[in-house]
Amino acid sequence: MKYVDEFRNAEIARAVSAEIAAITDPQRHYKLMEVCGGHTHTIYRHGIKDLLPDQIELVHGPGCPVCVLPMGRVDDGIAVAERPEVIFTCFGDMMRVPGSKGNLLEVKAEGADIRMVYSPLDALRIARENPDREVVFYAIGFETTAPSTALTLQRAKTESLENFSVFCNHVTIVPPVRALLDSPDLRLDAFIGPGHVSTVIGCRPYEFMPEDYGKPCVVAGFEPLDLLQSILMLMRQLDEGRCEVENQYSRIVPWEGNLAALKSMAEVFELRPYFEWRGMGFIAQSALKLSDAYADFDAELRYSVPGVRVADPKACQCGEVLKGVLKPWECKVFGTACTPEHPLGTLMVSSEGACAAYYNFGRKSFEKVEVGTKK
Amino acid sequence: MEQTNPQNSYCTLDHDGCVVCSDTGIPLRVVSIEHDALCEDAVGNRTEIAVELVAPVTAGEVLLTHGGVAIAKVEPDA
Repeated sequence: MKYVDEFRNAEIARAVSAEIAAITDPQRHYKLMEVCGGHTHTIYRHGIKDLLPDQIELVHGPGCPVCVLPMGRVDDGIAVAERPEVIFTCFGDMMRVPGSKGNLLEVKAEGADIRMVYSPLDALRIARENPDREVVFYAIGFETTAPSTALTLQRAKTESLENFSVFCNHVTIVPPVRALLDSPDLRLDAFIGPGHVSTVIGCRPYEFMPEDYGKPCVVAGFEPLDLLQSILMLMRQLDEGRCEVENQYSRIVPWEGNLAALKSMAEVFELRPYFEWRGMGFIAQSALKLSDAYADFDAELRYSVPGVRVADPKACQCGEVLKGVLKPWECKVFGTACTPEHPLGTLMVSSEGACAAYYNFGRKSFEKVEVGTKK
Repeated sequence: MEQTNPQNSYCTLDHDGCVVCSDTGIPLRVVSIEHDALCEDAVGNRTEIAVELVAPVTAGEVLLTHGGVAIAKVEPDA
């Protein structure tokens, strides 16, 4: 199976880069936004920006589900994790996301039973193996991940498992992108669509971008050549005056999405009327909660949580970076008070957050810029 | 599956980042199927994968997996 080498070929990359340069208008500034943490990581790790003309600016949007979680929801999770009867399970990067009084890793060090899992199905297995304990899975993620939580809950229901529940923070991709397009802060030209979210929801949900906002969108894969080809496809649309949704990742993404996954999600979840996004405020119908049929597995109904809205630290500018208004290095505390070892905000915690990605991979090109000038 | 595997590849089960943040999709070949499918990555790591969302599956097929669940099938010549 070809999957990596062919999509990292330097010769092909240079050829695609040359094609992009050939159709770039030197008098125009282009802003292309990607909304996927995996894309951010690839862009920085493989130096994609260095292969593009200076006229093309890549803007990183709120595509990392850890990064958009407000501190109050982290506090709610910690409140559940501190209960002695609970085994609290979550994905890796959630362990270091700061709440108002600390993070899950620190709470674990103080004695709470908090376990990292790679799948909600692992949490289900822990529940089966520990019938005398209450197992809670702290669910995060966009539509790529929601089906795995849905499938897990369907299995839990089939097994009539009584000691398992889910604290649901799943979010959806379309409402925040629409909020960004409505924002006066940004003037975007086009979107690089999230690859694996689209595997579930398909490409049709992005049609609002060309239809309502006149912005083209290309659904992109995650290898360097995937991103370069997607950027080329967007630049061709802009050059030719076309505006539509295209699927660069067609080797994986079906246009209609995964109907079985969507059906599973429709059974298990319903849309929350609104949900708070870090740095973006409340967005209508942008997150999921468990449906009435699965209320018995809803951790927010099973346990009382503070439910307090907590403001970000004053120095934290994660909100502006999440919206693409600021670049990571333009944040006042980037690399000084806020580093991956001592993060103030979520974007430095997640390995695919824009700040962490730039800190780990992007500073070499930044160091080329003369002191006192901005790129 | 033929491919080299750079260290910390996003395309194998050795991927060490956060599944959710990286929007990881790991291609795995189906080895055998009982309730779940026993699947193998490009470098020989194996794990159980839930396949209800892409059923039916057969041994030899390559599935795109995320968080222990198959969410798509990978085209044979991809």
